[in-house]
Amino acid sequence: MGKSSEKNNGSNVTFYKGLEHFETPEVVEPWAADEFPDRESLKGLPRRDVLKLMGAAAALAGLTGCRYQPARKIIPFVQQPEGAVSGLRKQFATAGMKDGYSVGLIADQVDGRPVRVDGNPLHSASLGSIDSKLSAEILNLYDPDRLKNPTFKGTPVGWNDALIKIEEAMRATEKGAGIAVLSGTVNSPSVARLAGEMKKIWPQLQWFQYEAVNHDAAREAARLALGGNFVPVYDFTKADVVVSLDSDVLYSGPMSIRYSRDFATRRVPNSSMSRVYAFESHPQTTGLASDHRFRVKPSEMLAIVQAIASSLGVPGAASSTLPSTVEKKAIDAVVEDLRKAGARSALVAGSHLPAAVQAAVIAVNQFLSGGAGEAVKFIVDPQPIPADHGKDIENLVTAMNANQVSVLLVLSGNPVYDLPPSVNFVEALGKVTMKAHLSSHKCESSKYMDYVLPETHFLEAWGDGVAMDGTVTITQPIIEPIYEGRSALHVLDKLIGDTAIPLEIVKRTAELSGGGNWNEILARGFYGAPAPAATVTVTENLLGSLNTGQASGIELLILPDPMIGDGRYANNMWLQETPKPVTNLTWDNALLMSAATAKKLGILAPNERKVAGVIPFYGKADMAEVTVGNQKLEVPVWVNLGQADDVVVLHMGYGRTVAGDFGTAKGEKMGGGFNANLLRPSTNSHWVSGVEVKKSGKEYVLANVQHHNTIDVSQVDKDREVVKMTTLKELEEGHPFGKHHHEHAGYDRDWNEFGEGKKMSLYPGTDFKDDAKDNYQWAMTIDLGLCTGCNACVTACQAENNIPTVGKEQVMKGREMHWIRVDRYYKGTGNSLDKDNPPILVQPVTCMHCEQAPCEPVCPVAATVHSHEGLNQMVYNRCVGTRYCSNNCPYKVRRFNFFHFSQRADNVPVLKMLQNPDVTVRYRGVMEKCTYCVQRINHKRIEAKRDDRQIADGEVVTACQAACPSGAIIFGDMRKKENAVSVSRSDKRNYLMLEELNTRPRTTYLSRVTNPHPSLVQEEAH
Amino acid sequence: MANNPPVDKELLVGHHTNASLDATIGDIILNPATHNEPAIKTPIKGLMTSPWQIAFGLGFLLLNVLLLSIVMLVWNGIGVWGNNQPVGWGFDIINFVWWIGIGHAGTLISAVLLLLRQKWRNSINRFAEAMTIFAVMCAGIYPLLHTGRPWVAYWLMPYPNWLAMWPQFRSPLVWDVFAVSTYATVSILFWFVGLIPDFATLRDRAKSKFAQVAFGAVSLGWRGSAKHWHRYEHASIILAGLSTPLVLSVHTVVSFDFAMGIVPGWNVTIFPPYFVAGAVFAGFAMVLTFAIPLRKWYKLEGLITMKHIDWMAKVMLATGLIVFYGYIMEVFYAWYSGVPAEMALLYNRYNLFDSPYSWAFWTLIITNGIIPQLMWVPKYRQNMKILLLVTTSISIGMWFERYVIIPISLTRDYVPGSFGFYSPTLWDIAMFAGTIGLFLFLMFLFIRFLPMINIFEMKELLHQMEHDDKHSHDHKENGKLATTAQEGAE
Repeated sequence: MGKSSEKNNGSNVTFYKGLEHFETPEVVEPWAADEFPDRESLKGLPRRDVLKLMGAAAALAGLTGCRYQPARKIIPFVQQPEGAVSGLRKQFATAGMKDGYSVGLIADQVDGRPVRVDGNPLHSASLGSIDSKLSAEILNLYDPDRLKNPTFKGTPVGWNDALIKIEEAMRATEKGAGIAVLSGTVNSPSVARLAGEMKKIWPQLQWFQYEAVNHDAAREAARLALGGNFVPVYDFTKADVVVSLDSDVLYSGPMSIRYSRDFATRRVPNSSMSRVYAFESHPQTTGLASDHRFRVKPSEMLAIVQAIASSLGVPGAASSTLPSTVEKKAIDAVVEDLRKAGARSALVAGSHLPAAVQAAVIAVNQFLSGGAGEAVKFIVDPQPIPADHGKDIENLVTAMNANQVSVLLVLSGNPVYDLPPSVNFVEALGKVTMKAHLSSHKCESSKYMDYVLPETHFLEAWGDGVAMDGTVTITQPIIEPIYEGRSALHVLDKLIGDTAIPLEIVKRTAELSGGGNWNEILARGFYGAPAPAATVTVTENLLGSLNTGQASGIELLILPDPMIGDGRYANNMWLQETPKPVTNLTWDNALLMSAATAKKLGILAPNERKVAGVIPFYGKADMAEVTVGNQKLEVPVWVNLGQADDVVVLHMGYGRTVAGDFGTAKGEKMGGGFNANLLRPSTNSHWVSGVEVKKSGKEYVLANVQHHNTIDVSQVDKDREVVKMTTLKELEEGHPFGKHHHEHAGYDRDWNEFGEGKKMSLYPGTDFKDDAKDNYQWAMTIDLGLCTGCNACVTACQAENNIPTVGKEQVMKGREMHWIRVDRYYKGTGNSLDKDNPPILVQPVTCMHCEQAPCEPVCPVAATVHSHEGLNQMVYNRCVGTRYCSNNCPYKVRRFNFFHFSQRADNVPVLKMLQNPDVTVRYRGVMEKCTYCVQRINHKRIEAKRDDRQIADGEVVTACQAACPSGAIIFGDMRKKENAVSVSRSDKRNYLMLEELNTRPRTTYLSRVTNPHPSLVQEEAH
Repeated sequence: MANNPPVDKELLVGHHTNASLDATIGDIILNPATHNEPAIKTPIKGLMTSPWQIAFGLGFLLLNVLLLSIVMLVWNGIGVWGNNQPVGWGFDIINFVWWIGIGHAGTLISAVLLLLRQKWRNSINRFAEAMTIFAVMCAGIYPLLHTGRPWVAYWLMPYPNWLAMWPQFRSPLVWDVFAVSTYATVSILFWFVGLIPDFATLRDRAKSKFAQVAFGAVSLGWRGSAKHWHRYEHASIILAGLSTPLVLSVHTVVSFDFAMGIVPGWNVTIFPPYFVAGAVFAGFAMVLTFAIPLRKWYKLEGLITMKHIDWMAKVMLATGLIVFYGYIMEVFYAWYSGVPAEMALLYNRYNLFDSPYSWAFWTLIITNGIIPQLMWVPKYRQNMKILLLVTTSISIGMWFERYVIIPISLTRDYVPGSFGFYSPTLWDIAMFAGTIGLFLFLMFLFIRFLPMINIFEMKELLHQMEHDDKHSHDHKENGKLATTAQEGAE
């Protein structure tokens, strides 16, 4: 304001508010006295105008709120919890389930919410690695489609009401007669203990276990061969020779993560490299990792084992006729190697194979080990309540149909979907008076139940579980239940009228089994010692008595899906979009068959289509009609090179009708596949022979991330050695890339010396290499000899880097967003490709962080630039999205946000919690790609700076590296010669992908090495 | 003017005077009835229509398609197009290059031929230049809208900002920004400057008040004084001098978008000259495509004579051969390099039975390489139907050239695991059709409201012809007072 003036003549003092006041008091004074002196004039304003103005003002005020990124509120703690530092990660040991057994995990928690799970390095089933399904569990936790509150016939009810009603019904029974509990595998000692307590209250209560994918056949095999309930435990570090019989031991099964690591230790090309034979019905990761792959039908597996056994001289071995796809000399080679290795060899059988085959394998293993048990040993099944799932469910259904069940408590599981149509579970359910279902999701079974109760995710509740080696893992909650879920443990506890909280039950179980100090158990994540090897003896004359029965016609294998399992992960979009190993299919299952079988049936692969019979293009897949008994199913066909002829494979878990937004099958456009359970003749069947398959005439589009499949292998893949390979023998002879490899003019890769005196620059100081010595220089190596193509890295990267899923339609357009991908190649020779059994190679590809990156100079806005640590950085804020960088990237690792793919994460509140707070969520129209997990580097940098030291070797672990079960990925600072990555870079097997382009990638590969038996090596004509 | 060689008599057919030239060209604008001729019957009874109405209506319709597709694109994202991984550029950049190429003939005709004192340019330069400008406008839509975030596309411009961020000057896309914006600016200036004397003529001939005022305003006070002519000639020569390097540079820079990349099929050193030749080739084809019907509809056969058409066809043939040579060289380079990726690219192009896009390559060879060879035959250069067939074929062929180079090279580059496919979506096609609509819309607005043939340059040509005649007969007083107010008022 103006300064006030003072007029002082006598007693009259006036304080002027300003010069105006003094000069024109008549104007100023009304305003000085009143804020709106002319308010009367407002009365003249028509009411409509006022409303118009107000409306316009409101609209304009609203418009100012229009922008693309919504405002986010940050609400601080009212009272900061002690020791909590916002943004810092805390790690807690917990555990997840894999094929019925526990796997120790570590969960990362940021600001009270879990954001990531990794393997627990101390736990024997993980050794710190993880697979795709367990990585994706974090998405299951935040799945917006989870059940949120208990319901009674669709009406919301309170938990207490529900439990009281159920308990009343249970108490109304005569000593529990008529109460049936149907659960999945009971893996938790605490649940088993509570089950015991329940039996005390209701002695007639019956407990059944059923999962669609179970260990019945293996259990049956152990009973046949060893007369007891034993499970085999392998030690692949000691296995000089591994023979796989349709087994995917490196991918499925409770111990596959650990086995991959053990297996990898023996795949290092040196004198102790193992030799692996795989007899497979269809290509699996184990076969991809093998030295020799043979195509064998499931029905012929026993003949292979018998042939090996009789050559080895196993007592009782019956003579057998070898299938045409396996030569006698192959069996001779296997036998020669097995003889040499003796106890240091392992035969592994696929868990889907008939018990007879698995029993025969046990017999051969025991013969080789002579009971010493080096590579294979047997332990008593550590499961707290071992059960035969097939028998259990049949007994239950029989009881239900006989009106003997009045109260049915289903603890997780989805029997209506899982069970084959021959078991009419829905009808049986109709005969039960009180049906309660504890389930994480609304599923096919829900609508037939009275009470549908939300189940907690394992990251929300206390629990425990047995790992396959007999140790007991603790499942620690990382977050309060997001919805009103309760765990099975909690529910059972309430039903028996106990008031203990689940934590106390788990603690009590640990105390009872002498677990030791509770806090130490929590920190470690598990208690108990690995189960000791059991002394086992093989049943006499076993081999002679084994028979898998007559097989005829086409054989159908119904196997758990590599990604979504038996369907429990169907609503997990990460797993739906992670390409399935070998086939690279996403969002659907398909009938896999060999090229010859497809040809015989007149079925065309998508890549075999022609426009006007001339121009090849990538089209739809033919559909086939599969008939088993009186069940028919129409499914699209995927031609899977390397599969045995007359064998078709269909994965389970698809064709869900009630499974949330992503799991429910929505037809061709959205995917979701076809229900393989409809073709299962019985509750446990994985292998059916005499199946009728014929071309149905319809077509279906399959979303495959690798479009070209087998197109033009002859010409396009010729001479393009993106994957280099050699054999152990050639490597020892000094050919790290095979004898026929043509050496390109290499460049001086050893710029670890930083080229002082060599380099000339017009602008010294402008290149990142100028001060390379003073900065970390990050680099990565990927050992193609160790990679099995399991895709665990893909899911782990997706979880770490907030990578959105795009859906089937976008995958079909080639717009999937994965920062790391696993390319699969069929190796041809010259212009020919063995379509029956080609060598199948896999290669993980991610941003190479080229020192001379072709993407950088072409970006018109300098949104992709090089860091002083050799990282090729992507500045999302600056990106305008010309996509020039992606065009110019020879490795095609850049991913573009064609739409607002992260919209769901933006709109669905619970998915916001899923996002890794250290990684930007990208908006539509920007490019993105692998960052070498720069957020992890920076975390470690902060720690190192705080301690005033350098980041140590091995301290920074990228997400893909952490996940990789076989340890194929090495990352670190390449300045120091002694660092693991430098050692790997100086390996003679190390090569640069597309070296001739002189991009100088920081990610380098180690060539794939196989160790074939000399008698089976075919001289390749090159 | 004294050094000028005699003008070919066939460049102006029929008896013309300055006044008749004014009337022939000016009345197209000043008399709206001209646009209702020739009348064409429509299926609706009693409703007659004209080529102008059909073409303009079509243009307007497609213009709306363009607006709709722009809204769809900006609202939803690039995903509405068929672009994918690995094909980052599809219809967007094909059409950008195609339109830029079409514009080239205009600049070549107006600038290079002016400097070379080619008098035959006088009757075609005006609408060729208009085509240049409209084509550049159509082209300009694409680089802007093909970005993922078009609202920040201005970051490609160097401007001072508080981030102290400059564009990446090493990127050919930034060169594009300079090249295309310069091109557009100089073309518009040159075109406008050339229009000023004609505006004055129209101002003087106009009967309606509105036209008099409007043309009066844009004629910037042109009175046709000797001083005006002197200034005009200087400005014209300077702008021609500025434009001439642009003829070469614009498409050279556009070709750098590809030649600087490392994608097999892009990384070809022959691209700059071959793109420039291609642009002139495409441009002349488009000029002919428009000239042939226009001269018929507006009875301009006397001004755009068979001689013009013949010479344009010859230019087309010559540049077409350069382009064809480029195709041959591409094949040779791939073979000579021995690089597997290049060899595979070549294989993918020519092998009709094994590769999905070879049909596009063969379409290109036939439409762009084989069919234009008809122009060797003088009879065909005089046959309007054959000419139209050839020019349409060239327009299609030049589009396919970019289709083969841009997305199809990207479908298969280095890593076989990332090979893909490309197919446009409905919105790709809608946007392309939309830009054609914009072009038609602007072209027919131009025909309606601006003189499509340079009036004063035609008069100058007439004068020079008379001058040539007089040199051989009796020498008389002459004056160049074609566009004065007095004469116009007659």
